[in-house]
Amino acid sequence: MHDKNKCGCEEYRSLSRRQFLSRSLTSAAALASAPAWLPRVSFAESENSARDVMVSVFLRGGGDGLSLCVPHGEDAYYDARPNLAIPRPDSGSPNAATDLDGFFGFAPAMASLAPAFNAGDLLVVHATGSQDETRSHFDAMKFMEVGKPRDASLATGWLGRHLLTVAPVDASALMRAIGISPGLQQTLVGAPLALPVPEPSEFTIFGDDGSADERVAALTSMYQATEEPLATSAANTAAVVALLDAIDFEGYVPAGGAEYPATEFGMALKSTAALIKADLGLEAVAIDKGGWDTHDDQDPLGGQMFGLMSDLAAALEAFHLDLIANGNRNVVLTCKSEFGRNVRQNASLGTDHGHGNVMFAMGQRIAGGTVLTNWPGLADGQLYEGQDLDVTIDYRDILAEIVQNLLDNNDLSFAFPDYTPTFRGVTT
Amino acid sequence: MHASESATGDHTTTIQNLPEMESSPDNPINQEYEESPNRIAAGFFTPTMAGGLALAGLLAKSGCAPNGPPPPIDPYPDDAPIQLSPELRRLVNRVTYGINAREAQLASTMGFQAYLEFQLAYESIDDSALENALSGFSTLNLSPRERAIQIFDDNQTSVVEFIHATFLRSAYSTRQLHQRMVGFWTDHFNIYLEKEAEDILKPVDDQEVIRPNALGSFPALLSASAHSPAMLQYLDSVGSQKEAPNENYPRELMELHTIGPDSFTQQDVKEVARCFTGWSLNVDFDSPDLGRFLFRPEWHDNGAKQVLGKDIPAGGGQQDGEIVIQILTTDPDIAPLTAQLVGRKIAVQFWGYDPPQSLVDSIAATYLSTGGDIRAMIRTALEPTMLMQAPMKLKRPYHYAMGALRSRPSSIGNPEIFSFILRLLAHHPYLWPAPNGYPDALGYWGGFLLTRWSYGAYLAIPDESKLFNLDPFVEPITVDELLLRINAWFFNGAIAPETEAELRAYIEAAPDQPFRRLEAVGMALGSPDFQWY
Repeated sequence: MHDKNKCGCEEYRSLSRRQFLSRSLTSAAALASAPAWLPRVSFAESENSARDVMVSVFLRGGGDGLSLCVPHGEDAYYDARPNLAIPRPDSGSPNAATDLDGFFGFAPAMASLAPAFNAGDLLVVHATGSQDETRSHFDAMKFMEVGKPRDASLATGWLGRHLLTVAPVDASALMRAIGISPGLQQTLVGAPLALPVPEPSEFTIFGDDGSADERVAALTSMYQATEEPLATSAANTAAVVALLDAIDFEGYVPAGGAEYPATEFGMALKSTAALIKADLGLEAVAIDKGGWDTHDDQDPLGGQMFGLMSDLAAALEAFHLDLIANGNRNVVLTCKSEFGRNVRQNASLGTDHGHGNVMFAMGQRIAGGTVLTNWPGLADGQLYEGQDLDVTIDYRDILAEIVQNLLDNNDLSFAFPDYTPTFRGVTT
Repeated sequence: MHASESATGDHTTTIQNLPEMESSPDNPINQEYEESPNRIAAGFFTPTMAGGLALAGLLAKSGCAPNGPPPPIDPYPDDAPIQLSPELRRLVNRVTYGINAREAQLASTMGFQAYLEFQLAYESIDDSALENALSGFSTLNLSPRERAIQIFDDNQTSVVEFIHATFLRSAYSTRQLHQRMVGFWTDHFNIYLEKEAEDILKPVDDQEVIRPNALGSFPALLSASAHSPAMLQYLDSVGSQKEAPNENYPRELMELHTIGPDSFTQQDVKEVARCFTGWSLNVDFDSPDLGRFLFRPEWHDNGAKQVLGKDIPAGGGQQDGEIVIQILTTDPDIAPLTAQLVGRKIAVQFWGYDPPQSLVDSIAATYLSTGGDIRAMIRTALEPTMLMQAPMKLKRPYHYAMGALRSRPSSIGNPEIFSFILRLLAHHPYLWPAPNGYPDALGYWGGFLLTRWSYGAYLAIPDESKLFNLDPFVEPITVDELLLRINAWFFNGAIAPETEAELRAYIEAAPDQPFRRLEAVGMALGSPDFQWY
């Protein structure tokens, strides 16, 4: 690049990035308006709590819960899936499931999560999910991320509303929530100081480094005059640039010898770990892992589903080692999917859209080491609409207990409107 | 799906130093490209297959990438666009990928309705400059079998040319409304290029399904898509057999392509799935019809069915699926549902987010009275009085990228590098994994703005290999004149005062530095005024 003329503008240079940001963020906060029915909170001071950082993982496409956590005690499971079932732990098969509690087990591809489970940090919830009947990916994801089905008036997400109704942990935080995605996940919509960031380690504007700050500042100022959401997004973009600039992603060394898989999802969790350890007041991160819509050639023992589960388990175990087993961080991770899949395999050796599913929660204050379930059974008369695992624990029961006990929010009616959760002892 | 090292902070090979890399013999962009995560795939349904059949061709240092900057395709004179009335500016913005001197001249001369009719009758528009540019491509018309032979031979030319041609058509075709509708239907009938075999099949779908029908009739388009091997493969119909039919395509056919999620039951999904058993494709490598549609009667469920309350008699064979398509597009009880869904999408495309129900109803009525004539629906959607009441729309990143190229004489240059840029912008054609297509939603795209700012900065950095003409902005002119030119070229005279003030302040901080003036040009492209349309 030629002609790197430095700008001679001392006035701009003397205006530090932080000063600029605090100015623009004030205006952004003023622009972000909460729905009238939400309680007013003071953003002026932080709430000095031991609140956990929430890492919300969403498996997009309908992850097959019967492979993610295998009900090896069910004969009907083996009858329904002659080509797709994971062999029983006592089968002698090299592909046998690792037993968890005498009834459920982990497929070989999930076995790297057994240490987290055995350490009591990982909770498995089975036959859970949304009780809504939809088998549409897009409706099911929307209902679950919003935290309430079929309410056209509600566009914000459960986690976004949680953040909107509690004071920030750190009043000087530049950002409270990040979605690792090109567009903000609906889970986080409504959160103050939230922004999607597709790639946390890439945060520099193209061009001359010497003028980068000044150009970002000028662009951000320009955007303050335009319509929402761009005005707020510009201020948040500038904040994220500053926040990420303070973190040495390249030199980040995970604790406990954790090794994140060199995959999209592994790197997203690794960046999340670096962000959390930087102690910048971040309170929530949303991460997606796609590829779970396995209508065709599912193959949980060596193919498509094997790869998906191996990546998921290896990355979650690295995160466990890095932040929970050795890091002593106040962090809780949840992992869920919009629905499970049909109990019976189809002619393409895949599974079509189903209903009930599995869900994971991980953290030091999670009552892990157990499979929490009210198991409905998989025999013909026990299936939802004759084809699927039923939902006997609403996913909001799990999330609500975490929001109240680990995220320190005693008023659940905003995160989960019109739902009265049943607490099931998922936190310690 | 490729492994990524980049998230650990390797920002030595990012968009920052693309210009230098472009001329490097050991182009590290290739390395980076291979290891770069697929940003789009990150969020949704990334199939884990594809492997060697994926977009590896874009990495190949194949001979198809031009060596130097090619001349601009559109030889239109390099004059500032005529300043249009607000009505015409909005119309041209809504039916093209961006105003340029040619479209401004045409619209100004013809007026609102005549210009719209001109763009609708796209076959009559001279597009010879683009056709000449594409005439050097050797693979655009290959059959699936010819594509497969090349790809199995590790020759990715057909994939690179397909994507390159997509860029060239969007940016430089004179048939701009047709191109916008090609993009629209590409999303509506989304197919993910990185799914297994789609590097062979999707280019044929684009050639034979999307482009010929983009301004035709919706029933014909839906029927072509239903028979498209690329769609059958993408939504897993190819192996669907009577013993346990695959429900993927049947569900999305109703939920996304026609009647919407609340208009059918799970029983309808099962029945439609029975109707489409046996709709498959030829996989005989020795056959000239490899990769073509093939009905397999032995896989078909020939029993009687009932779909959406309509009886389909036993013994229909392939006709069962054809009847389902007819029910969804023309049945008096069912077609109104399709008309509503398609009408709403067209209203969002041309009018704006959250269109009035009255407009959706008008477009749906046009669908029903014309048998799904797409041109007629567009006319209804662009009714001038309603259009002027529409809110601004945010350009999606691909639209923004193409609009910027259209604003000045320019070239795509090396398509591999342009692909990389579009991945950073998270809006590369054919790389949305889920069947709903890239969203057209303010909430989705209105978040992280840095990549938009970077793209503007990238175009405005002078370099001998650069492809974006910056001549008017490097002449020794006053700051006032420079701002006038920026306003004329990029904003058709409608720059916001705040944007202009920030640009002025930026330039006047060191007014005699040419580089700083060009940085301001990059900021103009990144400005909010250039993102809205």
